[in-house]
Amino acid sequence: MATGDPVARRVIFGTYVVPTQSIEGEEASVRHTEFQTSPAGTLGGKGIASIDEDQWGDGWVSFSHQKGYWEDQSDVWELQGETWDGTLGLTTTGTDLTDNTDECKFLYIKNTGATNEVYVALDGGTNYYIIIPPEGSVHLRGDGTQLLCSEVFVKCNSIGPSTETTTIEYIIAK
Amino acid sequence: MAITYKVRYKNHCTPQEQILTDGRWYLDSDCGRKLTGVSDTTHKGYWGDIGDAVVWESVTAKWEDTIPSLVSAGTLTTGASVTDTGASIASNKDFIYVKNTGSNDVFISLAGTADGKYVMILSGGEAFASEISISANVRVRCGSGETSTIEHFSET
Repeated sequence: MATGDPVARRVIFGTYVVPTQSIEGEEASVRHTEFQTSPAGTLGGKGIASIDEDQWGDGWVSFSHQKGYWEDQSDVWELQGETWDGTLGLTTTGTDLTDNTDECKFLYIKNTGATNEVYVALDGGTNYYIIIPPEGSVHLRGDGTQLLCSEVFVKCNSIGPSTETTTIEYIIAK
Repeated sequence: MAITYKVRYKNHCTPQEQILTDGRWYLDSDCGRKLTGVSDTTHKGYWGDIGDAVVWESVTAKWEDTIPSLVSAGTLTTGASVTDTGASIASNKDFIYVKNTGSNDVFISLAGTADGKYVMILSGGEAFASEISISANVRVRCGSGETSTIEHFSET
């Protein structure tokens, strides 16, 4: 690991997709899996996103708490009884990842929960179009002008009981 | 023979930082590791699609035989032209994959309405893959006066 303040930052990213079909045999208990007829193989892509070397705050990655410095803490010392484990807990109430209004250049979110889905909105919490299943992840590059960091909202799925929860790890970079 | 369909997909990334101009790239010290997630999307179907069979006990057939969407395969479309006029490539879908196979940037909107903002960008060779809400309408366009090509794959 390097030391010193970075003069540049970037994110190398890739996507790998395998569409398959599972066919039941004569014996109902026997199935075999193969590529779907179209595309009859795997799909994918890769790229590099350039992001600012000086990010909007410590919380641009979930591995650092947004209030990692004492001067950012508004609670008293004795009430901070837990260490930050690098994941953010979600409920069925939508929450933003940051209130920073810089343009979002790169977003990565992984659902680290085991059961519930994560919903992601890119419009300030109105429409949650992106769904992340347990152990799944999504990444995207912001267009550079219209998607602001503050417009990325996340929540646990709201199909089940309102007490549903999950956790995520994320990168939200300007 | 019952056939079920699914898509296994992985989105991974490696944050890096440079300490000296034109120097070596290191794993970003704020992140500390590579990140990845792998999952399967299965075709869930929606009880509302069945209409009259919204109570579990009233469904007498196997789940995968009951909901039509479970027997649909996706189709890969290659070489699709993209212009500076927005065009829908997928709606009412559960999964979307889009790759920019051209050289100019392609912008993507998931908004259900035509006036939604194009908030994502794909440069040449880059791809976006995710489960999406069936309310999403995936639309693509290029910058003003530009064209490109994409390949896309979606399933319900």
